[in-house]
Amino acid sequence: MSAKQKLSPPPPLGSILSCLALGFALLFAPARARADSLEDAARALARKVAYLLNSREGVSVRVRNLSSLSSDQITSLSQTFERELQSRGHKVSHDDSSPVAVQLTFSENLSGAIEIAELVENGRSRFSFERVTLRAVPPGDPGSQKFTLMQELVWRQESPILDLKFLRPSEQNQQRIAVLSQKELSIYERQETTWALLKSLPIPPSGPQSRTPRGQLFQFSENGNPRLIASFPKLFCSINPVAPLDSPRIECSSDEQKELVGVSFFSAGPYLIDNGAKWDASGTYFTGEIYAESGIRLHIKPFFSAGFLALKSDEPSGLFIAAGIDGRARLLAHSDKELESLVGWGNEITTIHSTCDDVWHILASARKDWTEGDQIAAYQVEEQHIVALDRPVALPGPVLSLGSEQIPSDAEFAGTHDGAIATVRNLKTGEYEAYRISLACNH
Amino acid sequence: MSLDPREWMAGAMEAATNEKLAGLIFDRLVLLDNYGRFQPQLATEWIHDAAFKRWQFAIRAGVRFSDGSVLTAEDVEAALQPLLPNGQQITASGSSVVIQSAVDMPDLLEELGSGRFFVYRVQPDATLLGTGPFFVSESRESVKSADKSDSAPSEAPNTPPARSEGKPSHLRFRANEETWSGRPFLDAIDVTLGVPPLRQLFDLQLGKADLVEISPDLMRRAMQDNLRVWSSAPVILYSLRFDEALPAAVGAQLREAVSLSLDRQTMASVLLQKQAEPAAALLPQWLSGYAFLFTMETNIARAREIRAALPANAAGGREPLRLRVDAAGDLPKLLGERVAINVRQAAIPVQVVSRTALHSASTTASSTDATAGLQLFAWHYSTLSPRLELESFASALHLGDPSKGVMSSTDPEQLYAREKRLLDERRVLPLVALPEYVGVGQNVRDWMPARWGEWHLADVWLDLPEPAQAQAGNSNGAGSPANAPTVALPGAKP
Repeated sequence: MSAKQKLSPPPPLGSILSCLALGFALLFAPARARADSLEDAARALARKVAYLLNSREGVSVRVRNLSSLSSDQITSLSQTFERELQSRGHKVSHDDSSPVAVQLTFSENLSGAIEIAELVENGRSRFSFERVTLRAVPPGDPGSQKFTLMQELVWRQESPILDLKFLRPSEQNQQRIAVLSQKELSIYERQETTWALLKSLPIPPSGPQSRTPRGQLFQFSENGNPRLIASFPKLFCSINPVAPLDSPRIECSSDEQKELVGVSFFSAGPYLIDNGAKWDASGTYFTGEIYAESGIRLHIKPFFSAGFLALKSDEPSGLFIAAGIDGRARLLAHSDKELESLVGWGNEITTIHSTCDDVWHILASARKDWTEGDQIAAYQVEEQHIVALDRPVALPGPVLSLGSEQIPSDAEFAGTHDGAIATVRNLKTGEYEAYRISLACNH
Repeated sequence: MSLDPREWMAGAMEAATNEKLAGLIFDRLVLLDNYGRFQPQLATEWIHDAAFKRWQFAIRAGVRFSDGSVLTAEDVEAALQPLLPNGQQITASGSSVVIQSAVDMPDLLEELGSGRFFVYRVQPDATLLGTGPFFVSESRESVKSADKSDSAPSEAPNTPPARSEGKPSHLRFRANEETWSGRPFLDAIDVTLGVPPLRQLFDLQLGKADLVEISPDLMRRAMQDNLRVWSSAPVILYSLRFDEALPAAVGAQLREAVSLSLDRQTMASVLLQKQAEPAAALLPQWLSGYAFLFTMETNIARAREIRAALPANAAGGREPLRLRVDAAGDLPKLLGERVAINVRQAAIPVQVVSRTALHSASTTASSTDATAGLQLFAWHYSTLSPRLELESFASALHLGDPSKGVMSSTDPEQLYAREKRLLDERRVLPLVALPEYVGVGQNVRDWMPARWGEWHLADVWLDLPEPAQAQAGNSNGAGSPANAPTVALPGAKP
């Protein structure tokens, strides 16, 4: 269960993907004399420079970077530029031995990169330009760290990811993931090293949006058949996840009189708990009313996200952690007895079960805002107190949601996806990314 | 102050303030995000022909104005037609609008995603309605277009109070609960205009304001006081413009002498305490990508030689050259004095004249004052299209050869050539470029403005102090001390 004030995505807009596909593809593809890539631009620029040089004339090349390109990229592009000159018979040097000098500058503006060559000969300068319309800084390598707490990039896309879950293995034992966005629910299947789209189902609009749109994925058994549930604050949708190709369409309801609309569900890792919570009217957080099948079970303080540290909510050992909208994380016993109250945590909390020590752990984001990189730290409960486990892992942007890696279900856990998934907006690229967060055993 | 985009003039400092406030209540068709990607706003999709002469924008369905009425393609047409440059025609077609022009418009998205291109609806009583995250005043739902007579504040309902010289005026924006982009976190925003810069700084320090503008001369003080300060990319250009009345025979040489006498580096680093950049180009590097190719030489000896070769009765000979400072505030006056010192070093006498009546750069640029001399003016960049910005600049200042028509190419090589021609004329001499500085309260979260100065206050929230009754935190290091501030409730009142 998760919700957050921190999410900031570009407006909850409908057709980002189609817009980008339609708009940008058409905008930048046709009929313009533009290089397709930085490398193409470097080659084209070298050809322009070669045109201005005498046959087999040598040049000395100096490089300057005024752009956000990395030094590795600049080195590679410079080499491309020089190779093109050399292929046309021009000797390239990097000292002042040649009477002709080329100052190669990598610059940029709001539209993308501009490569400029200034050819200086006898004190006279001539300029040649090449531009590349890049709409984003190339993404960096997310990398991973050798800590007990591990992170691994699973998915990346341009539109906001509301939730991403690994589905239960299919009969053919193929890995599948479900990616939920505001516009659609997409199911992908692992095929060797890539994810192939099986089906993309449109999500119908459900009235005025929240500035922090959210949605979550669950799985229910319905008459023995699994149903994949996409739950939004004002919408409830379901399909058959086993045979998505056979599902004619996604079934959605926004009728608030129906019991599952406006309600989300608790989980303990990948285990669905038969308790639900109600979204507030804005769809930003949960009101604190906890529901069971029999009706309202108890009231706790309003919260953004929460998780159980036990398989059943009424277990004597059952503990519950919630990130309150007042900035406090609360550890509760039997769901309502407050054991501990903490500040300094972010709005995203989830629980995972570690096979290393057979203990439930808490993962929590840090108290940051949308302008900063975030962190996820691991904690565990010792004698009814929360203690930190390991150094947190750093993420390249704000954590927008945090939940179990495998889809929470009322069926038995099966598979190896026992970690968590954090969706993040990468502040460097503007893209949305999903990271697997897991606890690696040290022994 | 006017919230009517039809009344804003390109480059004017006032237009930048107007645009910031209008951004609270109006939306554009598209938005350029901080990653250089256009994001859908009131337009959800767009397509153009191969020649970039015809663009079609699909208008988002279900968008409502702050009075609850539905936005239509006809509204978009009516709003944008008065704002589009000459030659661009917009027509509504079903749930889309089509923008056409005889010349190609490859940078139409940059044009529509910035500046005054907001979508609004004019009411029968001349008030303007918006679809944005806020609306003006708790009891008002629309904005009266500015009274044509600036001197008489309107008493009519829904009219933002006019700004009177020396007296702060206030605007209250309230959250639009039904806005298509999601209800903002803040319940309301109070804006006070006309507050003296030092008072703004004090208000920020005392917690009486959450955001304030900081003038460049107070930046050092703000930093010393450990205030949280944000700065944009350079968005304000201070320049000199020669009067057209200068005799052509001597004008070119006089302009060259003045240009060679200017020490921009000292202006930026000493006078403006490194809060500005020396400017050698009309467009900033972040907008054009090629500004670094321009350089401005300072050579007093050469300037004196040129002056000495001019006739004794040339401008600046028998009578001092008049330098009019046409921008408001202390900073332009200081810059003007510094320019005068530089130019006098080239043996050209200069007299600095400040105008008491404040006009925008565009207004003064079209002044018919025939006195031979110079103007010092401020230009605020207002579009994300380098082509359009350059054309607006040239048009407002009557630069270049109008008979050659408006440039449509967005090719940086051609833009560079065009800008170089304008600079080579030396009718305008760029001096320094400044960013905008904003003081941000310690409790302001998600302050994520665009680097070209556009604020996004609908995403901002306030981290309000924790109530005293909060419980103590744990002592085992899992969390931070319990007296850390708590998060504000969503949409907490500022």
